[in-house]
Formats: sequence, structure tokens, C-alpha cells
Amino acid sequence: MPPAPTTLSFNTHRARSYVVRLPLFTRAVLATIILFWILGLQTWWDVRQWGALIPSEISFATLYRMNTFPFIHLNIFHVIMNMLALTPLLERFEAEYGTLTTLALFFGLMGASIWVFLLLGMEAIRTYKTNPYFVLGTHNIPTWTTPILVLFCVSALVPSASFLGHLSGLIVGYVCGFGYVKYLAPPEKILRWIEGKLNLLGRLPHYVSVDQKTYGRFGVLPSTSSPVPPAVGLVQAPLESTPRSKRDNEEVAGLEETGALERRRHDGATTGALRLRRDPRIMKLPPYMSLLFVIVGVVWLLLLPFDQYSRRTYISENALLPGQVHTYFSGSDQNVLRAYKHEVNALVGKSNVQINDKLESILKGIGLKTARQNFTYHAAGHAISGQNLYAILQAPRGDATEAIVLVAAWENAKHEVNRNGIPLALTLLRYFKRWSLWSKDIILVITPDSIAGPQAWVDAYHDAHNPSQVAGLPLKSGALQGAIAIDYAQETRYDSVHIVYDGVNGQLPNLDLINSVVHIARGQMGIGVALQEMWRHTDSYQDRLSTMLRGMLKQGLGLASGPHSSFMPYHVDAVTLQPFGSGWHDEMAMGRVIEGTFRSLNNLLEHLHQSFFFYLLMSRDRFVSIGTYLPSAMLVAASFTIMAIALWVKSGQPEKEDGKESDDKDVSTAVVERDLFLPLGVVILCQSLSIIPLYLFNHASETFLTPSFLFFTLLSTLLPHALSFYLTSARNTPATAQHYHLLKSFSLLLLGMFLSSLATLNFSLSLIIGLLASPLTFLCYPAKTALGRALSMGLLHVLSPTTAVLLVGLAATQSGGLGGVLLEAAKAWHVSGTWTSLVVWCVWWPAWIVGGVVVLGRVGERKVKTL
Amino acid sequence: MDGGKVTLGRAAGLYAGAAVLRLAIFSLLPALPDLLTGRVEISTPVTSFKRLQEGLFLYNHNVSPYDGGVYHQAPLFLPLFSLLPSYATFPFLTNFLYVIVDLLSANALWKIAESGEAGASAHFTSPRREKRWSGFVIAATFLFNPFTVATCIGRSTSVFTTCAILHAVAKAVSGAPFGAMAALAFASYLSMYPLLLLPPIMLLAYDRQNPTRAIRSPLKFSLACTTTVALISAALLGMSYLLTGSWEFLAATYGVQLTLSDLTPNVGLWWYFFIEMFDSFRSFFLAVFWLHLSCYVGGLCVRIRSQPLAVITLLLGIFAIFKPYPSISDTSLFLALVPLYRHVLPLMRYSFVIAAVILYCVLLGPAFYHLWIYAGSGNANFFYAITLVWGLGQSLLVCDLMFAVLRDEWEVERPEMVGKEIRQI
Amino acid sequence: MRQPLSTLFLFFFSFLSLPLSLSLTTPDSDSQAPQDYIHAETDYQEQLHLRPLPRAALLASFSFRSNTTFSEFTSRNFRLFPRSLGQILSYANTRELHLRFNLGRWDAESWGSRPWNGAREGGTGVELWAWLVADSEAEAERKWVVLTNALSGLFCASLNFIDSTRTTRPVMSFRPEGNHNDVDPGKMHLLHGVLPHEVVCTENLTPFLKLLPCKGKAGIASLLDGHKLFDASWQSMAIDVRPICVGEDECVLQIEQTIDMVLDVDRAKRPRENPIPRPLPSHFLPCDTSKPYHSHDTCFPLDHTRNRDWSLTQVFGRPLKGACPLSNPSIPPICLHVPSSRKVFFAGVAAEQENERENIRCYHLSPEEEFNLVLPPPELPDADELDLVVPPTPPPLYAERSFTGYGQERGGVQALLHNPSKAEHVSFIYFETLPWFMRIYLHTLTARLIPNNSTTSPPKDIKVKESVDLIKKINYRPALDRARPSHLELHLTVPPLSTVQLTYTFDKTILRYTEYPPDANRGFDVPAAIITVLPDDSSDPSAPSPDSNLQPRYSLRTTTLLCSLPTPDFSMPYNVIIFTSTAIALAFGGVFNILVRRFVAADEGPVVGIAALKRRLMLRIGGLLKKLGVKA
Repeated sequence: MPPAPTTLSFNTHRARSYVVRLPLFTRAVLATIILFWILGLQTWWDVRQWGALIPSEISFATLYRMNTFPFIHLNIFHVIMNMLALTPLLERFEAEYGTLTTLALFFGLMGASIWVFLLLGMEAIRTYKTNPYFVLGTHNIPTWTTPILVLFCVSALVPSASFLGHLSGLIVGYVCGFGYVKYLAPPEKILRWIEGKLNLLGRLPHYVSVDQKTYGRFGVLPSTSSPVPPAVGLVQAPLESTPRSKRDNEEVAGLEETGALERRRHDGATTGALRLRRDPRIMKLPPYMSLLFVIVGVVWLLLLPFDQYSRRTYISENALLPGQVHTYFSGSDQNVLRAYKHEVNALVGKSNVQINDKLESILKGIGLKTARQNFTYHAAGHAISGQNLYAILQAPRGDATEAIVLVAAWENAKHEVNRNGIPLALTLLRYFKRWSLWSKDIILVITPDSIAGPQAWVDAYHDAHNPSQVAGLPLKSGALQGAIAIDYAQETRYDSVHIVYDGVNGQLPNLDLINSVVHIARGQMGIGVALQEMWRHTDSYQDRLSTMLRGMLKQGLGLASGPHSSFMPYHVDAVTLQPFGSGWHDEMAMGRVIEGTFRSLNNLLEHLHQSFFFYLLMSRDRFVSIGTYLPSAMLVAASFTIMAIALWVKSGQPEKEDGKESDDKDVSTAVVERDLFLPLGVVILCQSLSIIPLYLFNHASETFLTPSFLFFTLLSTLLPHALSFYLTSARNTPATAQHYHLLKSFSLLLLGMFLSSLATLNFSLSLIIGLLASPLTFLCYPAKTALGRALSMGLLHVLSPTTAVLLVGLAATQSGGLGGVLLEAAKAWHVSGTWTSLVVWCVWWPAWIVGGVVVLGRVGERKVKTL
Repeated sequence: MDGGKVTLGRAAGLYAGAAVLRLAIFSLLPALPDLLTGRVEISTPVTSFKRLQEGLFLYNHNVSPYDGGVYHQAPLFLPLFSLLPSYATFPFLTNFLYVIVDLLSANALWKIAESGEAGASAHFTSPRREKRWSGFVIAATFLFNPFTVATCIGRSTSVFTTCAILHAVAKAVSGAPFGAMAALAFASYLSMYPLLLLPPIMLLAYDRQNPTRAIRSPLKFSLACTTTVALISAALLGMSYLLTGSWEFLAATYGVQLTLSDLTPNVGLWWYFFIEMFDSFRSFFLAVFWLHLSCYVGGLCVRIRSQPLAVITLLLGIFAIFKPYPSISDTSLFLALVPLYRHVLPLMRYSFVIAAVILYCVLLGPAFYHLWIYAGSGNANFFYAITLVWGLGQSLLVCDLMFAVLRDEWEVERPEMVGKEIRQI
Repeated sequence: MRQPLSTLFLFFFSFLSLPLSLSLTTPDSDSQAPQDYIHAETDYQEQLHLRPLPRAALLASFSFRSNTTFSEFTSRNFRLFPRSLGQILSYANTRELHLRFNLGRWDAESWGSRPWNGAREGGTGVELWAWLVADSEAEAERKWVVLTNALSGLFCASLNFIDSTRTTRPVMSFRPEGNHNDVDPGKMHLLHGVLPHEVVCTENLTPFLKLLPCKGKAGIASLLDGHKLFDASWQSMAIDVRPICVGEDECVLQIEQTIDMVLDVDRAKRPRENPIPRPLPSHFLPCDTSKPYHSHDTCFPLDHTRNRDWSLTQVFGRPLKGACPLSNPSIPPICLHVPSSRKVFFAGVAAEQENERENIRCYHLSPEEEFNLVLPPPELPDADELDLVVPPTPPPLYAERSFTGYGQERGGVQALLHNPSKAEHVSFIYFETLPWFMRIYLHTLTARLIPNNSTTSPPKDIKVKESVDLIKKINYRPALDRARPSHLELHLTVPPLSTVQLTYTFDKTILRYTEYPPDANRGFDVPAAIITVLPDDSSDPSAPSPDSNLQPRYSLRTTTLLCSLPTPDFSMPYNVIIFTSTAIALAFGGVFNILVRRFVAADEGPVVGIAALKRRLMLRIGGLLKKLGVKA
């Protein structure tokens, strides 16, 4: 008999063999769940509506819902959760009762009301069976609680289901609890007959036949023992009371005399399994797996623009009714607009306060309440200061509970004067004043610039401002329901509107808002719409892809792209509208677009919550929702985790003097004791060092930014060498290969963890960083030869965070090169709270340093002691 | 003698270090304490410091703090904290009190570790017991555990419960049943659930009681212990009655834990369950959940009779998952006791998975909570899913530790099985 | 023939005018001092006060008042007093009743102090407070439920939603307006409830008019048109029932119904069939011709010069159909408040009676003749606004309340209370009813003194000292979950020309999913704060002083707030219960699984295989066959 493997290490074989061992019906259920989820991705048939368990819709005709609802899910998280929860229980149940029984029970008339119950009834049976070993009073209370718990869940939750269903569930419950499930399930003889007829055993893989039913239990999580023979005594214990006990004794006798044969067969199976587990090729697999994951992730992304994967946009908030109203902004209002334009042109070049004085007088003339706000931000030695002017149009019949915001910055992001936007905003407010239908206040905010001003105003509106930098607001209204920013600097007539929607840190407005603007501009006004500076968008694959990639890049950088960006962090959906191109549309058309949008927002009963907040737009009317695109980032993040696990396992295996596992099978796989403190120390050190660049580049004044960055680049280039020198030579006991494995394992685990949680906040950033850092997975194996070491280190240096920033600096020549980029980053950090730099310096950089250390590491000679 | 001095010096250094760390955080990052106090992972309705301040305010203004929906904590906190200077004006003493409580817990933990009860109890001696960490290491892991630090900085009142429980165990280990029972009574007075620890602590105290003045008969002993606990709790409740002048504090403190009337989110499994529960079944499931929480005590005590400390550890782990209002401070208490079982840690099968799961939850939990509450782009299911995973990860840890302990026992009778693949039937 | 008739009227009423000017109770005069009520016990009188306000607004306050003696009331003999209401009151033992329907915002900056000193208005939505006679609190609450249910039926408002979670018992804010000397004060229970989310609309106006003796068919009530009323910028309907005693003898039960509205003249003048505000034809647009760029297609608008002229039929959309025959003829039904410099024309049979001093002109109408009032545009078109209207008197206090913070976890409330007067302190009572799911933290309550109009918050150290001497008295009853709202009454004092910033924080509770309304993501409305300015800060507000009725109080309401709570996923109950149960089952199963089973080595233990089971099968079949064979 081969020496059994130890249980000391977690090894991937367990999971793997568990998955391989999943019985048929469990697989079917999982497959169905996934299938339904995938079905849910398409739009032409709403699976949820069809299959979800909606109590109001439960009738006799729709009883099928009772069987289908467990397959229906809201999103990917839901799917994962459900599968996590369902698999082990279902697997055990089927292993116990056989596929046919499970099938019969789970899709019987009882349907849903049996589902959960039986999964837990199994627990009850087990506890009952093993009662002899468990002396807890006569009524084994724990056995009973769980089944009853879920039983009542079921009866509680299907209020309109027939009482019969509950009753049968109850009966089944107790029968099962006592282990007489056979009376309810189809009799064994019939099952066996069916099997004999169909010869399912031979046909279907993973089929659990009636005969194979293993009453033995596995660990709470899968252990790896191949399907276990039952302990006869145990199995029959609950059945002693049944008339078949005599027969059982006979069986025992029968077993005894055929012990030898069974034993041999069993050994065969075991050795087979063990051989599989010990196969060293398994350990070679993970790198390829993670490589595969990265590739699949990228390919997945590239597939998205196809029609099969992206969906057409639609309005899901019924209250919006975009484009349903006739707009009256025209006629003599244009004369007023011209007059205001004269006034504004006269103001160009004046100081911020003079401008505000004039505009305030106009707004007061319209009859609005106005107020001002001063702000001063400090970033990189710069003082960004100004004065906001805002006016509130109080809803005639409403009270100040809700408000919509119209933002017109004096200068847009490109520092052009908003020559048409400001007059248009004034005229619109004067026009809105005449309507009595507003249910929400309308606030006009006029800011000196497009980034700091709106930020200061929104912060102060929600009292999230720092009083030393930003003054509070003397005048307030209700909860902000939405915001539209006008960026209308061009003098000539236009033919399309450019919708800017990226918020700070990759946050996005509710898709319904963008859709309604598109709907109103195109459907009602006949104005073209463009996204992400795709001035001409032929709905081709390339255009969709580039739109999507541009959007992802913007989100990844996480900078504020316009006056609207500052609103997103406060859950206020906002977009900026920029006319562009040359056509025949004039300011009044733009005004009508805004009027229509405001009327739609005014219709809202609830805060926008229906549609999507995570999406990628590929054109004005196609998008992908998070459920579809998240896997690509998650796969990239998972590739790190896989390697981490693999390295952990590998670090647990002893190594020969030459440092490579031998391939012969009967090597003792006793696991060596892991020395965790050194690797943990190094990882923690690198993580804590990462504070330095973060602080440096956000607090150094502009003149010192570039030199300090270059100096830091030099340091971070040398740091890995220094560390690895310390690890290999300076310490009296040089680091072993195990140390390097653990080092890499920990840092990759951290990286994967950070990225996967980042993916839920800012998908694009996580994906970008993940792709840039993916070489860390493959390169950093301690290289044998000096040449390999040098090569991989060189590659690492090419792909280092510092190099990335340098390249960005070189690319961004128009914004002042490296210094300009660093300055922008510092401003973004201080003004709009962008945490891209945090991710770069505190997530990517430490992982990179550790990677360098591992690459440079030389395995010291030390015999590892085995347990 | 000399060694004693050394350990003393090291202890002083350790405690000083921990205290300095906490006080430094308090003084250097003045915004952090209030931020942490607001986190649902740290302060629950029954332990929140902000609610304590509110209760204190009402108490000092002669409004009964229990005639309202905010304050659900033990009445004796009120005089204690009203003795201290007001937190708004002079926070140092309050912070210092919390630091001291942490250090006391660490000290109790140190005692427990030094007693070696984990490795060698009255009925069982582990063959691996040589491989253990000193009290220094264990106290350090507790004091510098981020969860513990966060709880202390967040000034959640659960640190008092933690301290009381640890002292109960320490007293029991050092053969002082009365002290143990007193501490336990105090803990259960503060937050009820420690009462479930009575059986294992009685067992522990019974095993470790001083041979000179020992009560041999288990019945007598248990009777004595139970009456002690009952009397002390009664005394505490009586004092509370005299303090508040009415019994309404019972409903406002223990009643809230029993009926979960405050559904503020936390890291546990109860809140979302009872948000989504149909009203007609609420009481039934409350009963079932409490039953489920208490049903572990008997089983563990019976099965792992020979190692009561292990039972206590596992129970604390289970409470940290299935309490009505759990927080990371309960987890930190559990994680404080786990290192006592250094010798069986190698027998655990999923240590890496557990670590990974817990770390993932630590990162994803706040992210998802932010998406739900502030960004508004996610819904409640996000955070609920994470609490579910968090619970599963912890239960995995509990099960795995239990497996390791039991296997350690089993290998005493089957020495040849050391390092072999085994299974359970 | 008409002209002499009118002169006759004029002559007839000229000698009446002196005593009558006493009996005018204008909305601006300090609210009802008892001697106002002294004249004729069982009469009915109605009056409309029109007062142009700046920015082309027009305040119209209708007041209808009728008395009935107690003897008639108790003998169920209703003449002018509405029977339906009377029965409800007697059934619910209600001594004094105040019901308010409110819509819109009063713009104090431009409109000045409120009509009736704010005594005849409520917070947005529906507000109800009443003094009930009951022996115990429980009985009072039972009566209260009866009252709210009956009134909700009578006024087609969901007043029955005023349950215990919306009912408070204010201590300092309200005083009975009538005399209750005949009732033991211990048995008088004041209960107060608000429905901030209730939308006031026409279906509330109709029953309101039904209560009038003339049912809105004649008299000033015939001007009341739902479309105009609910298109107003601010409107308030009030019903007050109170017992009035004259000396020691017969007491009367008085019901007073008032409707105040601020019409936007521009909107009101639009014809009903074409309400869309299309842009004016450019030649009607009043332009600033002094601008250099002024031309036929460029026009800098002068909006404030428009809509200074209106007529009764224009703004109310219908003519006034004479006086109500039941009303006391000695009371002029219509009064107009404009500077005596302005011209006013009227059409129809009426007698004008001018009071130069108070810039009031009143008109006596004849019952059957239609009446119209015309205010022509001013002589010089760009005259200053303040010369054309009676300058509004500034209110004693400006109040503004808003939420601070964001997110659905916690928030804060901030109230800015500004005292405009240069000389004297203002002492007032700030009363808030907050729903129980706002868990407010009273220890965070601070009142900071903000030096004049600067919004920068002062350094922290002074705030404690300030709050000490700004807040005279706190009356706080914390909320109980699902049982009662929190009730906060503060007695504050604001120094002259300064602003007090009142702030406190609260936590937002997550509710059971059955407790959310259908539009859960809209948020929950928080009732307006009620501010009652005390005549002089010396008098303790809670002590009912005998002469307190004499001193008028000015009261105002802030706007309501919208509090968004965290919401669960309403589609989840089934899945949540399954998931949680599964997680529990996993832990439970895992623990007991390990507990109750013994260890064996991987290769030990009994074995089962297909072959074994086949053998077992064969054995059994063999046995059966044997049995059969034996039988056979």
C-alpha cells in the first residue's frame, strides 16, 4: 500500500478532485444556473421575468416558477454566491441518495418547497445516524432545528402556494429526518430497474447510481478521498427499526467473506487517485492557467463590442418620459439671449468678482435668489482660488425638498470662455421662471473654472468641505436629483452634441440620464450625439471598440473631465453637454435640449436608481453592463491569486539539493514547516515604504516635482537590488527558495486582492494596472542563470510604475510634459480626490519592488527541516 | 528569578509599546476615532460609543436613556463614564481607559498562555505541546492585531466584554473559580451572550481548581458556580435598577438583543435576514436563531470534554459569527485565543484559504458598503454577500481548528497515524 | 340710475365707517385679541383682503367667521355653524381644533411678515392640533384617533395616517386661543400631528367651501377657483374652532375659516384655456432701450415693469358675484391695501371707504350685483416697486433649515435663525417633530452665534459657551422605535442683527422591507419645524399666564425636508432566507459533522463497491428463490 499523502498542506488537487467528483445532477444544476445567467445577459427574452419567483404571480399555471426560481439570478455576485452555497450541499445530497432520487425529489410536485429542505434534511439524517456517538439528551435538538428552520422558510415565503405543498413538505421533512426517505423517493427496485434498462451507469459520467450511494460523509469541505464505502454499521443504524434489518445482517456477512476482493479494488482506486494527485505536472499547471486567464480576460474585453455581447440602451425609469413634452424655448427669448450675450462678451477679461457682480444683477433682475461662495485650494504650491455665483429658482408650488442643477462654468476644461453657455443658462432660467410646473427647485451655478469651482460648490452643498479652504453656502435647497452642465464655447452653429459623462475615479452617472439626453437630442431635436470625442462614429466594430477603450482610459485615469465630474461622488447624476461640429443648429436648439432634459428630471418621483451605474458605452445606443464585462478584470485579478496559491503549495513541498522536485511517484510528500516571518516582513516593509512616493508627489511644490520624481525613480530602481543583497548575502542565513516562493505568493495575493476589490469600484483602473503588472506573475521565478536574471530584471524595469509615469509624461507634451502630468496628478489628488496615484504607488509599486527582489534572488543553500 | 525579571521587562515593553501606539493614533489622527466609531464593522447598536455618549447626555440631563431608541447598553456604563470628564472637552482620560482595558485583556491572555492549559489540560496532554508560543508572542498578536486596535480606537464598549471574558478564563485557569464566575457574570451582564460560556468555564475551573480546597463532586461544584453567577448578576441588575429607577433597561438592552428591533447593518447574518423576513414569522425565526446559537455549547462540551479551553475558543469563534450584533471585536477576541493552539495549527487543512477569505472580506466589505450607502451604485445585496462570505470564512476557521484539535487527540490513541491521510466515518 | 344709487350707498355707510374700522380684523393686525370677538355672538362675517406685494405678487386673504352659542351647539341646533363638523367635535370631546392645509413657500425676504402673524398657517401638507377633554392620556389618544379618522373622511385628506408615530404633545409651542376656564386644565390634552407628504389639492377645497353658509356660490367665496388657488406660489387653508367667552355670561363657539394665497400675477392673468407661457411677441417685450446694442432682435428685458396692473376677474378667473346675503352687512367684504397714491377703479354697485392712514380701501357690496376691481398700471412706467405697494413689514425672525452631510448612513440638521432687528433680542421656541427612523443625537446639539451674515463657522472653542446661554430651555422626548417620534422643543434667544446656527446629527435607520412606501427611493418627508416668537423673552413660555392670550405671538414654519434612508433589495426575501439558512446549515453541519464522527485512516473502514452490492443483490435474490422453492 503506498504511503498516504499528508493532510498538512492545502493543495489544489483537493479542489480539483472535488470538482471532478461532482455528481451528475449537481453538475446539471450548476450548468443550468450558469446557463440561465448567460441567458440573462441577452435582452430579447427577459429570463428573470419568466422564471423569478414573484409571489404575486404564483398561480397554478405558473407553478413552474417553483422549480425555476433557483436558477434565476440578479447579477454575477448573486450567481457566485448561490453556487458557493448550493454546490456542497447538493453534491452531498446526491452522493447520498443517487441521481434519480434527487431528480425525482427536486422536480417533483413539491418543487421548491423541497429544495432547501432536503439539502438540510441530509444534515439531520447524518446526525441522527451517528446518534450513538453523540449523547445530547434523547431529542437531538440540533438535528431538528435546521430542517424546521428551512421548512418554515419555504412555507413562509410562498404565501399563495397550496397548503398541500407545505403539508407534503412537512411530511417529507420528518420522514427524511428519520432516514425513511426511501418511502418517499421512488422505490429502489424501480430505480435499479430503470438503471438496468437504460444502463445509465455506462452511459453517463459522474452518474451516482442507486448502488453507489455513499452513506459515508466527507469533511465539511471536500476532502479528496475517492467515493468512500459506507460503514455498514453506521448505514444501517437508523434502519434497525425497519423490517429489513435481517437482510442487512446477511449483507454484513456477505461483505465479510468478500473483503479481500473489495480491498484490492479499493486500493486500485485509491492509488489511481493518489497518483493523479502526486503528479508533479499539476504543479506546473498554474502559471499556464494564470496566463490563460490573462489572455481570456483580454479577449473577453475585445469581444464586447460585438452585437452578441453588448446590448441596446433603453430607458428603464418609467417616470422620465424623455422627449414626451413639447418645448417652447424659442421666439422672443432669442432676443433676450442676444442681449445677454452682449452683456457676457462685455465681461470677458474682467476679474472674477466683477463678472459675478454683473451676472448677479442680471439674475436678481430675473427675480431669483442669489448667493456667492469663495474657495481656495492649495496643490503643489499652487493656490486655486475663485468665487462661485449661484442662483436658486424656487419651484413655484413645491417646497425645498428636491433640486436640479444647471452648471455653466465661465471657462471650460480647455480654458475657453463659455461665451454661449452663460447667456444660454441665463435665458433658460428666465424662461423656466415663467413655468409653474416645476416640482423641484432649479439651481444655476456659475463657476470661474470647470474643476475646482464645481467641486467646491458641491462639497459645500453637502457640508463635506474643509472650512479653511472652502466657504459654506449661505443659501440652500433640497436634495440634488441631477445636474446638467453647459460647455458651449464655440461661436458658430453646430450639428452635434458631445456628452461627457466620466466622473472622478471612474464613477459614472446613471445610464438613464445619458439615454434620456440622447433620446431628446436625437429623437426630438434631430441633433447628432457623440461620446468620448468620437466625432464621427460609423457603428463599426473599430469605432465601438475605440469608444469603449477611450472611456476605459478616462475612467482609469480617474480625472475630472468637466464640471459634472464633481457631482458623481455625492450620488448626483450629471453630464456635460458640448456642441461641436458645424451645422445649422443654434443656441435655442441647445436650450430646448436642456429644457427637455429638465422636464424629464422634473418628472422623477424617486432618485434615479433603476438603470445601470456600471457600464461601458460603445456608441450612443449600445452598452455592456457590469455583469458582462466584470469577468475580464476579475480574471486578470484571479490570475495573481492562482499563482499565489500555487506558490504557497509549492513552498510547502520539500526540495532536493538542486532545488527541483523529482518526478518519481513514491517521494514522501511530507510538508516542510514554512518560515513566514521573513517574507511577511519584506512585503509589509515594501507596503509601508509606498507611503513615501504618495506623500512626496502630492505635497512637493511644483518646482521640486520633476527632480524629486527622477531621484525617486533612481531609488526605486536600486531598491530591489539592495533588498535582494540583504536577503542573499547580508543575513547570516541566506534566504531559501521557500522564502522567495512565499514572498512572491504574499505579494501576488495582496495584488490580486487589491485589484479585485478595486475592480468593483473602478473597473478600468483595476484592469489597466492588472495588465501592466501581469508580468510579475510570470517573470519573478528566481532565475537560475545570471543572464536570465538580468533579462527579466530589464523587462521588469521597462514595466515599472516609474517608467509608466515617465512615458505618460513624455506622451502628454501639450500639458507640460512630466512636470505637467505630476502637477495635474497633485491637483486632482487635492481638489477632486482622485486616488489613481494611491493605486499606482501603494498597490502596484510595492508589488513591483517585491517582484524585483524575487527576480534578483539567489537561492541560498540550506537544508530545510521537514516536520 | 532572572527569567522572571526578563519576562517582566518584556511585558512592560510590550504594554508600553501597545499603549503608545494607541495613544499616538488618538492624538496624531484626531479624525480617525470618530470615523471608526461610525463604521458598522466596528460599532454595533449595542456597543457604539456615539450611542453611549447620547445615553450619557440623557442620563446627565435626567432623561431616562432607556425611554428611547438610541441607547441599548448596560446601565452601569452611565455612572462609570459620567465620572470621567466629558469627552467633548477632555477626551484623554476616556481614551486612556480604553487603552488600559486592552492592556488588561492582553495581561489575562498572557496568563492563559503561560498556564499551558492549551497544550496540557487535566485530562489530555498533547504530544505536540512543546511547540507553543510564549505569552509574550500571544499577547503581542492580540495587542497589535489590527482588529483589536481598530476596536480600541473606535472605542466600542465591547472591549469591556472582551476583557471580562478573558479574565474569566484566566481566573478559571489559575484555579480561582469564584473570580472566574464573577468575571463571567460581569461579561454576561454587559452583553448577555457570554452567559453561554458558563458550562465550559465551569469545566475549566473544575479541572484547574486548587487541589487543596477543591470541591470534588462535579454536581456541587456546578451548583456553586451557577449560584455564584446568578447572585452576582442579580446584584448587578439590582444596582442597575437602583441607578435607573425602573426595569425598562432590561427591554432596552437585552430585549433589543433578543428581538433585534434595531436592524442597523453589521458583519453578522441576522440583520438582512430580519429586514427581509415576513412579519408573521419574525418571532419564530428569532427563536430558531437563538436556539441555533446556543445549541453548540452542549455538543462541544460533551465531545471535547478533555480540553475546556478549546471549547471556549471554538464557542467564541461561533459567537463571532452568529451573534445578533457581531463586530470585528468579537473576531479579534477569537483570533486572540487561536494562537494558543500553535501546536495544532499545522494540522489545519485550509489555513491559506481561510486567510485569503478573511483578507478578501476585509477589503471588499468596506468597498461594497461604500457602493451601497454612499455611491448608491450598488444595493444592499453587495454588503450582504460579503457578510455571508465573512461568516463562511470564519466558520471554516472554526471547523478546521476543531478538526485539528480532535485529530491531535486522536493521534494520541493512534500514534502511527501521524502525518497520514485520514477521513471521518 | 346707477350713479345716484352708489352715492346713496356711500352716504348710508359713511357714518358707519368709523366704528367699523375698529372691527376690521386685517391679516396684518396682531392676531385676534378677544375684544375683536365681542360684537354680535351669532353672526357670520366674511372678508377678503387684497395686498399687492413686490415682484408682481398679490396676497389674497379670505376669512370667514361664524359663531354659535353653546346652548345651540349642545342642543344640536346648527344655523351657521357647519353641522358635520359640529357633530364630530362633540363626539370627540374636542374643545378647540386647528386644521391646516398648506402648499408652497412663504418668501419672507421679499414678502415680509406673514399674514395673521403666521397664526393661520401650517407646515407643508396637513397639520392638525386640538385640545381634547379626557380623563387620561390613553382616553385622549382614543379620542384623537376618532377625531383624525372623522376629519379625514370630512376633508378627503389622509388624516387617518396621523397615528402614534406622528403624534406629539407640545409643551411650549401652542396655547389655547379660546377660553377654557370651565374645564379642569388637567383634563385638557393637546395633541399635534403633521402629514408633510400630503399634497393639498382641489378635493380638499370643495369640502372646505361646503362648510361655508354660502357654499361658495355667493360672496367672496365665489372667487375661489381650484385652478387659481392651487397655482398660487403659496397658499394656506385653515380651520379654527374655539370657544369664546364674553365676561362671565354666555360663551360662543366660534369657527373661523381662512384662505391665504400669494398669486403670481403673471401666471394668474394667463387665460385658463391657454396656460402655456409661450414667449411674448417681441414687440410686447419690455426692453431696456438705453442699452447700446438694443435693436429689433436684441432686447435686454425689464421684467419688473410688467404685471403691475390687474383686475379681480383677471387674477381670479371669475367675477365676484355680490356679497353673501347671510354675512354681517356692517363688515365690508373686500379690502385692498395699496398706497393711497395709486388709482383704483371698481365696476359694480359698491361703496368705497378709504382709510388713508393704513392705506386700506374697503368696499361694501350689494348681494346680487357682480363686482370687479381694477388696479391700473402706474402713471410712470418705471416707477420704483416700493412706491406701488404698501411696503411689507419685516418679520421678527428669518428661519432656514436644511440637511447636512450626504450618504444614507447618517446626516445632520442645520437651522439658520436670523434676527433682523437692530435693537432687541428675539426669544422664540423651536419645535421639531422628527420621525423615529431619524435617530437624533442630542449631545451633538450646538447653537453657534454667527457674527452678522458671515457663513464661516467660528472657532470651535466658543461654541460651547454660546450654546449655554443661547438655549434657554430644552424639552426633549426621544423617539421609540415604531412607537413614537422624537419631540424637540428649544427655547432660544437670538441677539440683534445676528444669526444663530443650530446643528445636530442623526443616524438613518434601515427599516424592515415591509415598512417602506412604494417609492422607497424618493425618501421620507420630515415635517417642518414650528417656530413661535415670544412677545418678550422674560415670560416663561410653558407657564400659562392669564394675560398670555393678549400678547400676540408671531409663528413661522420652515420648509419640510426629504430624508433618504438606505433601502434593501425588495426582490430578495426568498433568496436571502435561503442563503442565510444555507450558510448556517454549512457551519452547523460542519461543526457537528466533525464532532460526531470518528477518525479512521484513509484506507481503513468498511468498503462498498458495485461488485459488493451486486453480490448483495444476488444473495437476496437467491434467498427469495429459495423461499419460493420451499413454498413450491
